[in-house]
Amino acid sequence: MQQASGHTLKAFDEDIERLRALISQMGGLAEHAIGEAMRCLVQRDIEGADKIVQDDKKLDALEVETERRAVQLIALRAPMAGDLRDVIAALKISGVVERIGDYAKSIAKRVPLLENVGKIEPLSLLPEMARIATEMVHDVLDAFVERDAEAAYRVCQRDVAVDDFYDSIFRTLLTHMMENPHTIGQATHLLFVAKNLERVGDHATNIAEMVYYAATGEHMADRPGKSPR
Amino acid sequence: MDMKQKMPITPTTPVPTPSVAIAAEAHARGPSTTEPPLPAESEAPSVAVEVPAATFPEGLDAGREAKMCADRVSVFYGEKQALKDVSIRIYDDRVTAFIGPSGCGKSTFLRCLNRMNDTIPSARVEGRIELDGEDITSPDMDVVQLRARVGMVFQKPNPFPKSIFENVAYGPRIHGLSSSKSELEGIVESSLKRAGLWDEVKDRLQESGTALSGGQQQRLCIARAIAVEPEVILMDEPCSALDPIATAKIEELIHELRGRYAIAIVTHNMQQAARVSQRTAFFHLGELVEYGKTSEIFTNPREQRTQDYITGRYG
Amino acid sequence: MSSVAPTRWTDESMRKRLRRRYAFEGWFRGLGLAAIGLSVLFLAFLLVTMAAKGLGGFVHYEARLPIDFVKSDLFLDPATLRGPDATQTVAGADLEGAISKASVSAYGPTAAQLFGDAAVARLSRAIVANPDLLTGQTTLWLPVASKVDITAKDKGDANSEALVQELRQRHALRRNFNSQFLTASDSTDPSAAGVWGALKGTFFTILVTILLAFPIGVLAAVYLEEFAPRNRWTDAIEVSINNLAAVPSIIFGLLGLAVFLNSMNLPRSAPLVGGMTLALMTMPVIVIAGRNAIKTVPPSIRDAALGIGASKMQVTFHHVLPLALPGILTGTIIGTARALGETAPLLMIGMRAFVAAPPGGISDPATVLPVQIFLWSDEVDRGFVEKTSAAIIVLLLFMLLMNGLAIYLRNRFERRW
Repeated sequence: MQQASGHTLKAFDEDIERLRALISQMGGLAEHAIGEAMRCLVQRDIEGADKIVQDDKKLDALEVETERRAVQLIALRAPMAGDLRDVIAALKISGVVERIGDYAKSIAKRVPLLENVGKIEPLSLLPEMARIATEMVHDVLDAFVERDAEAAYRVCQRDVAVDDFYDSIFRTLLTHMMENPHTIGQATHLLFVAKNLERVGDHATNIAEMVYYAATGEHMADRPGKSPR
Repeated sequence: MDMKQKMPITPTTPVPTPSVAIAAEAHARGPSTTEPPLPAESEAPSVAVEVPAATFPEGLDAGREAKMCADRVSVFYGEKQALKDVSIRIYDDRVTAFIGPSGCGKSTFLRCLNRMNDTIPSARVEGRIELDGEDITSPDMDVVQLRARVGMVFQKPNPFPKSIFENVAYGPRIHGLSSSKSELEGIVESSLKRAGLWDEVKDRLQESGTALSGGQQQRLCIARAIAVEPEVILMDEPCSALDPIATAKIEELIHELRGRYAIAIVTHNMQQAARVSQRTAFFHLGELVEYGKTSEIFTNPREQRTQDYITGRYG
Repeated sequence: MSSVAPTRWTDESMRKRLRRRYAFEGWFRGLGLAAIGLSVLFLAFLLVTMAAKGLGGFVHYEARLPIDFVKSDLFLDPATLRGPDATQTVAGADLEGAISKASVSAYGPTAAQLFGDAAVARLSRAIVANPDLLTGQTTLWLPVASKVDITAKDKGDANSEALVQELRQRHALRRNFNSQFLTASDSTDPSAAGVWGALKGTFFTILVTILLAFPIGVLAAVYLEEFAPRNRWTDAIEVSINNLAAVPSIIFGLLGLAVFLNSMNLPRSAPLVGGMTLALMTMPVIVIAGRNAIKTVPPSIRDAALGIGASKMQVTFHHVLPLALPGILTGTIIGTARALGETAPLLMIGMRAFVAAPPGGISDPATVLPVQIFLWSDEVDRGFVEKTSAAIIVLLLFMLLMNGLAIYLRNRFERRW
């Protein structure tokens, strides 16, 4: 259903737009955080990693602000139908994006702990996984802005790739740990990093479902490519 | 008025391929689905968009007998057509709300249900309206009896300028519903109780009905309508002249009355329609645009016009 | 937002405009007060003139007369006066002669015409009341003749003046309330004339008028307003009724003469015919007032009644009429009050005759108060001048009474919706 024309009350339009802008802003920050965290991991940039951890506070603040705005909008504007779904979706998405930011923070926190990690082969896979995950987040937020249910659905499909990456890294790291016990510590950290990235992918899928519901009023029937773990 | 198509979401971009090693892994595991399945076609339509001529959706309220049934009803005021081919059903045990912008014909339609349009000389009603299967537009139908079976409450409370007792007793008296004074008093008492007014007026039944507050007057009008034991109660914007507390009391009353009578309510206030009704019909420019469960109309309407109206994008 | 400069309320030009406005309003109010003042003046002039001329009619002079019944030539036997025919019997006797003789013997030859018909009537009543008077002598206060009455009140010819002077000196003259005026009917002798007959006639006539005009008028109004379809015929009827209300009343008199008296041969000069003629005149007023009153009943009441299944008749008679009643009553009273004061149509149907006895029913010949006034004003005798004005006062009081009744009824039936 298109949100064709604006509300008779222009202030209502402005309120909704501001709310959605907040989400976009949060998304941008989260995307950037993940990218930065991976870069710091690869380049062992400890200061960079520290900055990411500090910047996470901004994301938290934005989430609080979003929640406040959403509650106010519901109380004062009594949104219906598409508007109501939009607001609820924005509220839920802000929470999910905040968690994505937390994952980025978690990755950044491990950077100082990974001193001699260069030799571990799976490390080369992680950036690619991160790229896909970040792209998913980016695309799903674009879909949110455009209220594009189709695009959201397509994002869900890509989670398969992220999950496959994770499976592969998991096996590789396990093998590596079994062969090189002295690297267990480092490898475990990398495992956690991979897990975080996999969770980011899942969260992007969650966002996609919310976007789909907000746009169409229906729930996505089957999550594509979901296989039980 | 097309049914909105539920578009199958087909993927148009291929799944991005991981690096070679992963691909080898994946291959070893087995064929992964490169084409995700189509999302299942939406659940059985629980609501039809617009009820076409003389056929009604099977899904909604299937198997229930309609209390009142309107089939292709059109109303003309002289040359001007106020209602076009409206077909709808009103059920027992359900409150049906009619919403829509000013002048869309909802009040006109409501007045067709108890033939109050007969009092307007230039009005002409076409189509068929049934109450329990009987055609009420036929000349055989006794209008007086019809109006006792289908009661009406108006926008501005209009109690008779008589005592409270007389207001409620008038209907039963003229229809001969009671055979003795004590029986009449019993009817008055039970009607006032059911309207939630008894406690407030039981000591002053001889006072004039017009001395009550607005909300009480409206409840008195409801008691008056109930006293003749109707089967359907029509309400034409009953709360538009009342303050929020009185409105809430009337809404609670509607909720209590629901089990006993079929209720149809016209309202300008969408929140009220959402609070009070189980079925909602949206009228626009004389046409019935959409009809369905209230919960769905207000969370996910099918018609763009409905969406525009309830989200405040209309006009 | 707007490029219009805000209004400068304290500008000199604005102040001047304001002053002019207030000045104009003051002028207007002054004109209104002047109009009211003039109206009050006219009304006061009318009332004062009437009162001045008419109050005299309510009092008359009485003179003392010693009568010796034994010496008079009244051949009346007290025994015969105990039966029901007493008044007839007494009427046969020459009371006038007896009175004249007695007054001459008391006051001299000029007193021969001292007493008139009123005195005869009074004496007659006294004898019938107490036949034993005839056996002896007694002193009675009897009303004087009209000429003497006027001389005593105002002035008269030389003889009468002398007589009055004499009576006064001997304390044989006193002023008293003229109850005759209200209890006697018309008479050729002013001193004996009264309005009772006319009042009774008016009463019967108005009764007939109301009994005919009210139901017909109200039901016609109800039909025209509630049940009649709106087409050319009903429009024509509406126009006709509106015009009827403005038709000069004498035309109704002609109608009454032609139809009621000549074609239907109803008794002439009877309140029945008078009432029917006046009813024709009053009905349009009631219909118009009724229609307006019914129009003011709000449609919400009708809707409410229809909504619980009342039929059209029930709506009209249980709800609309009671609410329209104050307006209808007002219209009725206005119409009736107008009918009360009508002279011309009643003259046409013959109520101009001299009617000495009050009517017993609606088919007896009668006269009405306005006609009575008209007839008396035509009389030559000076004694009738004050009687005319006094009758006007009675008429005005009667109308005040009716209006008061109307207001009372209207207030009683007034209902707030």
